[in-house]
Amino acid sequence: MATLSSYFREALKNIEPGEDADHARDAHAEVRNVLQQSQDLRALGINPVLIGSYKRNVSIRRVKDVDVFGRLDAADDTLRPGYALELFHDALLGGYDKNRVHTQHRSFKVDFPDYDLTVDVVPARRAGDNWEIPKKTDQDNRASWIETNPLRLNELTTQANTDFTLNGKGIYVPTVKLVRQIRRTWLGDQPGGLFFELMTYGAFRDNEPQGGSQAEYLTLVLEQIADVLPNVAEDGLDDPTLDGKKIATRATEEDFKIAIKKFDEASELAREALDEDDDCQAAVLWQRLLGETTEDEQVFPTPEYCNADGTRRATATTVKGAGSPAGTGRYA
Amino acid sequence: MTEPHLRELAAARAELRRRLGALGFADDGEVLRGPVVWTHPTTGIATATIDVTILDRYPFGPPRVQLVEAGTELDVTFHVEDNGALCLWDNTEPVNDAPWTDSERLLERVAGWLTKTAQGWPDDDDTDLERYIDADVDARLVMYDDAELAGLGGCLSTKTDERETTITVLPEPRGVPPQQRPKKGVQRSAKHLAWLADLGNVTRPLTRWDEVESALGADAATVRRLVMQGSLELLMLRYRRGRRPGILVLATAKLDGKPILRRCEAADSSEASRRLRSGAISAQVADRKVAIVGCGAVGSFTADMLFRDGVSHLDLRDPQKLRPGNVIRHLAGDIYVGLPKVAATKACLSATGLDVTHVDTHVTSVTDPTAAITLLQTHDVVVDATADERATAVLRWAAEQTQRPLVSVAVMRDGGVARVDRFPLRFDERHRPPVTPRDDLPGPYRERGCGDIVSPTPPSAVVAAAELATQVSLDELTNDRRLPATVLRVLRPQPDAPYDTLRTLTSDPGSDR
Repeated sequence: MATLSSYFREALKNIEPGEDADHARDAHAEVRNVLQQSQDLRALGINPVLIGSYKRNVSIRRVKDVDVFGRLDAADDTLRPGYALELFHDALLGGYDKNRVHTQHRSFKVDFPDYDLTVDVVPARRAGDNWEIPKKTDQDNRASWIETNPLRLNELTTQANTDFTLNGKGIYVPTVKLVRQIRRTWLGDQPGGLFFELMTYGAFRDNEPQGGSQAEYLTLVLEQIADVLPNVAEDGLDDPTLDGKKIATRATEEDFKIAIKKFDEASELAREALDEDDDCQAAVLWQRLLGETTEDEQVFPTPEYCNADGTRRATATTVKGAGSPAGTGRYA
Repeated sequence: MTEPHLRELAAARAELRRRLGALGFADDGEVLRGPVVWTHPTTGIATATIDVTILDRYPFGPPRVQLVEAGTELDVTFHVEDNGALCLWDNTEPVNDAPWTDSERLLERVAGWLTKTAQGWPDDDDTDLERYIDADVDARLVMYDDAELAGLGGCLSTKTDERETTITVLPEPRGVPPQQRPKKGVQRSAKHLAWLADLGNVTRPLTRWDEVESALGADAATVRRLVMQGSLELLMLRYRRGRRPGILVLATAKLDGKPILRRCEAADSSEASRRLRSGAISAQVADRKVAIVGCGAVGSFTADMLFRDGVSHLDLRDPQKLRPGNVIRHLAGDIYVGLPKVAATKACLSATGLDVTHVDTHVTSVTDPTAAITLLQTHDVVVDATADERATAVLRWAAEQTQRPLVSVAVMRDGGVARVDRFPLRFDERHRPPVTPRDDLPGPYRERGCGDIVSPTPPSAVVAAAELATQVSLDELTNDRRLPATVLRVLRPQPDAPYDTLRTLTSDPGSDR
């Protein structure tokens, strides 16, 4: 078994958001400030907060969008969703050129071209223990409210990373990042990163995998995802934040068909890599599984003692030969 | 009864007297006066009269020769002692065949001196004008940095040390102090100044104030005023003889209403001047980088020797502090106890007056293989002066991986043997076999309590090992690469061969030699 744990640590570093994290923080702070400039939104108790993969610390490079949840703490059930969207639109236009603000189904997208980043802003009002966000349909162009609880997913992520550990350190979050990277490598747009994050969450919660390395956790989780994906494609994916609800996805039947096939192959590849005794051969397999970064570099590094083709490099000298030829009893 | 050696000296002196007498010299028992025939370049043959005094130093030094009369018009300028004696030979002249013991060669030399004086000493480039100044000597040493003073002139600041043994001319131009008002003293800021001037090419020595004043040209009146009002303490006069530049430094003061001079011994304190003593290869190794791992006894002396030899880029590494017990074998003295050994060593290097900007210190050991690789890759030579099995192993491994030079040095057998091994081996080189430890030696010792083991190695062996490491390092730094992989020096004869005689042993040079 070639677990190559130190190289998995490097692989994880290679997909860390890097400077995107700084940009995301700055962009969020700026949007938050713009929203809070609006008197109308202040009257409704505007209290924006970060959500999404960046907030949950499961984003991978590159981070291209950041989600801001525009909580209206003082809004009651008389607030119409269309009016809320109007207020957010006006507020954003107060801070940004109209070319940078794009209206979407239930949110607004603000461009940060200098960062090559967008910030998705969604209005939200309290609905009991959960929240509601507007949804504008294409058919009649009328908005309605839809229930959600993205803040709950933040909590569940933190809890899972506390419950599942390797040598006392959370193993859930790094596994999600690797699964997101595999999805990005092996699939097209859909199903998206959040979908596979939640499948990973299900794999941990339902199967409680036990392993001695990142490689083992990733393999076990991939196998579980590959196992349940056909049923999920058929029945939908449970939303862990809302009882009895399913996760909405834009993935088509064809998308799922491809995803089932690809994740089947990916899980088999992971198992082959894990069972391989030769480190160098295993590294090549892990490289195929994890693909390249957005900068076209291998996510999984080639070990220093291996060639790129999976053969082992010849080493000139071994530590065994080191030492002083002078003998013992030296003084300096 | 006269001692035999005194008889021998008396006989030698009597022989010269006898020979000079035969050449027409009148001898009054003290001075021999007689003729020297010489050739004046324009007026032709002349006969001078000289006095020869055989001094106590004879025959290990020449007799004193003074010119009584040149026999024709002659302006005596250079190559004259302050007592009027002719400078006929310098100290490089071999004594075993001393020309002054042969009367004819002595007179030939005097004749040559007269001709050259008449010619104005062409091609002469001695820059020793201070010897001609007819004045008392100032006890202080005047220091200046010639490079820093380049392009400056006029008034400069000076600084005298607390012990008043040195006075330093600073590269800090000052305005010319104004005329002193009657009954008002000179302001403090207008005192202790130096005047720097360039006299250009000099054709005759300066001996008195009026000659110096004349040489100063347009500045003469200002300089006189500054001396008389007590502003000027030093005169620094740049000049040239032939192609060679010199600086004449004179102390000035007012005495009995007149300006006076005092001769000063002056020294250039610049890096370039100091490095003149670093040896012929100092320029070649100046930019080479050496890391010394282990700045204990051997490491500190190796650092010192390499630094003085011209290696100014040093990286010193050692995790320990200097303890009182270390001092006896360490470069650094008691005042540095408590400092990290690397800092103490650097302080000692700094005390040479050389630039230590590129001497880096790290209070750390080298145990990490990656750090060892980096160290080898970023230095032209790494010296292992740790005598630590782990450190040597990791450094050797790194040297062999990177194929970059490591010099490992140690003293063995309580100072009986110094050994240096160089890595990596070239072609079919081999190191010498290990030196087996002796079990009949006393010790090791320990400081009180549970202190580290103390080796009985004497300080002299430490310096010998450091010298050996320096030689092998320089061999690498200069790319000479003439030295074999092991150089071992027996410092004290050992009971077993091949270490039983004082000798240097080396490894087989290999077939690439």
